[in-house]
Amino acid sequence: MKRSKAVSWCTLFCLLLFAGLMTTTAAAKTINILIGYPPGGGHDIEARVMARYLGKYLPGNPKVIVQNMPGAGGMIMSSYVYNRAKPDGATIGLFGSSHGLQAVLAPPEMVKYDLSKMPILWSVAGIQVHLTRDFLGARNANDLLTKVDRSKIAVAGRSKQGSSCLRGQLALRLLGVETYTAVCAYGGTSPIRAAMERSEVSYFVASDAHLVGGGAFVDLHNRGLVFPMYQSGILKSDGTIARSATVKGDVPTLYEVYKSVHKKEPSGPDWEAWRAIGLGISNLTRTLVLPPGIAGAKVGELREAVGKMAKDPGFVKDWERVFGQKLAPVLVAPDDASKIRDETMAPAEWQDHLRKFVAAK
Amino acid sequence: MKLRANPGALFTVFILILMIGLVMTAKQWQFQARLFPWSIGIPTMLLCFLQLGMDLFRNRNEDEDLAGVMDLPVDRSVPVRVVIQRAVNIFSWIFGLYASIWIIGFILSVPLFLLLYLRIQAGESWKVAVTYMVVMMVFMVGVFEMVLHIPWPPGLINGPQAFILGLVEQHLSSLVPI
Amino acid sequence: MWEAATVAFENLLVPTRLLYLFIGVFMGLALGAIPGLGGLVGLAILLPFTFDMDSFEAFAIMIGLISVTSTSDTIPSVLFGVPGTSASQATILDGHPMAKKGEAGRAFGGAYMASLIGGVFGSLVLALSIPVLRPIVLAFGSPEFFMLGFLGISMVAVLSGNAPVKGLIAGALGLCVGMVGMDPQTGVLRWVFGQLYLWDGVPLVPVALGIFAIPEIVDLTIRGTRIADVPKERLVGVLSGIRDTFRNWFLVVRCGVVGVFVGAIPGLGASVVDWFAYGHAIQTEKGANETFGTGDVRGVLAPEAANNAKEGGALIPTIAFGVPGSASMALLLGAMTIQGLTPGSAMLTKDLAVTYTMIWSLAVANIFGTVLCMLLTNTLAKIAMVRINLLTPLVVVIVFLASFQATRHYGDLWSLLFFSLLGWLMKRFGWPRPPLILGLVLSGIIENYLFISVSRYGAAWMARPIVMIVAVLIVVSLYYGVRNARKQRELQQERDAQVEHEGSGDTDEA
Repeated sequence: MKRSKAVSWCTLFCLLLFAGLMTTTAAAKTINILIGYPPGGGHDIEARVMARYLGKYLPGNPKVIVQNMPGAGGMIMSSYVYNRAKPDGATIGLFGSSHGLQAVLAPPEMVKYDLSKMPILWSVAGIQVHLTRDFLGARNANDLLTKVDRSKIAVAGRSKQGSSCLRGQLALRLLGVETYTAVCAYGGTSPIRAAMERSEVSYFVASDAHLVGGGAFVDLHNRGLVFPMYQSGILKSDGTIARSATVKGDVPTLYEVYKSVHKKEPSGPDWEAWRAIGLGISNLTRTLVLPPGIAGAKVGELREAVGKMAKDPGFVKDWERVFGQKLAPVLVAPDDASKIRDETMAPAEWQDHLRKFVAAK
Repeated sequence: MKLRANPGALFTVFILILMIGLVMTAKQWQFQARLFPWSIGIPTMLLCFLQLGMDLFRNRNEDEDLAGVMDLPVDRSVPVRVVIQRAVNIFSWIFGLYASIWIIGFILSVPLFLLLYLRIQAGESWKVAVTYMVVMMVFMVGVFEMVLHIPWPPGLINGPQAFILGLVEQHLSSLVPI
Repeated sequence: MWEAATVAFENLLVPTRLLYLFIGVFMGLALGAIPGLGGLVGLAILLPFTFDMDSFEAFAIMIGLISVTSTSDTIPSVLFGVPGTSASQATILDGHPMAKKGEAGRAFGGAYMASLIGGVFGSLVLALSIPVLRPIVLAFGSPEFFMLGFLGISMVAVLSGNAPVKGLIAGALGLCVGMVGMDPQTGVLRWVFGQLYLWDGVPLVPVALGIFAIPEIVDLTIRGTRIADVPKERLVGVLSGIRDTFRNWFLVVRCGVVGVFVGAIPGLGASVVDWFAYGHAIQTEKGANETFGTGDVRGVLAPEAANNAKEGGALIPTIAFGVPGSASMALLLGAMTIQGLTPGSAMLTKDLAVTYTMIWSLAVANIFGTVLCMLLTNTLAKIAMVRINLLTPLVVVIVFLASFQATRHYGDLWSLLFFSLLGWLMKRFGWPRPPLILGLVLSGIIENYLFISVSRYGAAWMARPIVMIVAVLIVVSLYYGVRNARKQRELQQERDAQVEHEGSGDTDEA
């Protein structure tokens, strides 16, 4: 008899709970930030830092949670945000530069989102730093172009059509280096870091975050095993390219190096392609994006909240501790980010050129 | 060597067809991409033919095929006809659960499945079935919804699931700090 | 080095940190025991909480969690034949038959003790190798990883028993499944059939659960009885299992070594370490060919020792280089980032105390976890006496939830259903399933590292010393595999001849 009594009480309790739930007043909605990668990576951590502070600045102080929706390099998430998420401001996607690249390189039937229709709330620029191993004998860009045995240049990349591989190869070609080995199948940054240390590869396009704080290449840099050759720089909304304050030391931009080598302004399909994926898309390295069709007022409200969050001292402190670099220099205003994105992603010749480049052996 | 009727041969044929399909699809890829698939796939097709031959012609005891295979032993005490019947039954339940998830979503399918299985298939009492169902729901919602924030896919008829998730979000989400 | 070790130990003994360690252990035990969930889920839950912890607390709780999932994952493997985590698949082969014989308690006792020894051994190896860690790991490049992956594939021969052709085909099928998705070398989408879900390949969890878990539960349901078809009084207890561990101490230590070593190889890690150990045990233990697969306790001790040792191994590249040895380690790296720590030489010099905290946490957590499991064992063993119809729906639901957890996409469920059917049919028709899993896991490693080796070194990669050593190991492994298969065939023929002889004798007499 005891057991059936327990069951009856259990059932009664549940019914009461349910009834109670039905009658209480509605609380503020939850905001979901969707990540296209599994937990633990850079995107995930950034979203989690945001989740701790964003709710404070939104009306109703909603809870902000992070949901991981990994797969297809973030495209499963972007497809969901574009096609299925309700345009009510409760779902925000954290997109990466791969979304821009895949929109150009992936088979069209698999690209189920249109970046131009998705409002931007926040954008962080990623600056690339091209690193070489010490055994190549180059301490700076000039050495690389004059002293180095080019057959020893082994460019590492995560995959053949991944950003690191393409940016590295395009940069070298722009500077007149045609002979190099591309070893683009490592799958992730950590294996590349280990491969660099054991001298298996000698050239890698890292990000500025990799050289500060807990970044993957801090160790190698401190021990004098890798040297930065040049950086991508930051693309300003007026079209100029400036050095980033997040890259320490006297590291020129690729643009500066090109001009000093070729004595003219860069142009041509390789340059257009590099400019698009090395600057345009990369300036949107981590972007908070909304589904299409949201009312302008709501977008404005969310942008304002995100803007305030970016100035919250607690947030800034957490960010700097985690990423080891200052936030302000890499924060891109939403309007600027939208302008850069729309200009970069508009149909253009560089896209065909890039596709042909990837398809070639 | 006599040709013998061996149902296992059908399975081998299935695997063979699968491998042929995989190899043929790879034909359209560039050389580097199909190198590994073909180096594995083509010899395997040949091995499948070899296995088919062994299945059909080699005079071996059925049990011998399984003894010493590094895998769990199969219980042969139940007659084959009963095995097929029961297998169809249980797989129907499993596929049925999937169909239900597709139609009405995870949150409602799980308790429905538990209730129906325990009552109809297992013949358990309502008490047991309902307790089971409640405990499982608490676990599922507690861990997967409130802590892990799994993005549940919408079912074809998503109203009821959305309603329940909405309630959980509104009233229970403050219980968990993340 | 000793100073850092003692400082770290004292740091750990602070009551709040021990409490965090306990909490981690409890969570880890619970997660390991639920099929398909495992440490990754727990770490994902803990990660946001680590923001507010100091380094010692954060790692006490996280390492506490991952150290013990390989202890409690034995529970569903033994009782239901359903792998608790991907590291306890091999345990099923002998653990589950033991449960059916009413020896679940013995299986648990042996498994936990082996897990304890393996786990502590793993942390010991890690601790002692700190000075030489980096040079050793640096010596292993892409050619070496390729060869180790190849060694793994050669295990297929060992794990196919006397159905080598079926085993090879199963392994090849696994390799093909592993090739599904975007090929990093060419950018070609292989066997994706227009599905975004398959872009990153077929995830392991739904495949492993489909291939092993569902067929077992289906077969148990078909039989329709309890798991243990032996009356209650004959449930053999934990102590005999513990005695077994000490009787086979050398096997346990050897498998601990295998576990540390395999765990240290990025990408290889968790899902194959138990198979390597099991395969090694088959090759080296007396009479293994006869008894393994039927409830030989050594078939439980070997994988269980290895799968706990692997955590110590996986920490090696993670701490020393920031290269995660497994997906769980990737999350641990995330925690390190949050704490502002830099993996690499700093962890072995400036932050050595934090590193030692991890090592001590690993050792202490293993001890706690084992004691807790031991206390619960006899109760758990009684689950083997519960009606199967009460367990079936529970396992099915958990398997569905755990599979869906992999990528949170319907595709996970399709994979689960497809591989469930395939796994059940394979089992019925005598096709060994372990080679398929091995093939799936090793596919990427073999193809990618071969490509990198050839691109980078041309043909010279074959002349590297470690490559040649591993090549010898492969030949030895294959030789043993073939020899054992032949031996078994001869024994079987002898047995058949005997049966025929007896049979004809009876007929004559009748």
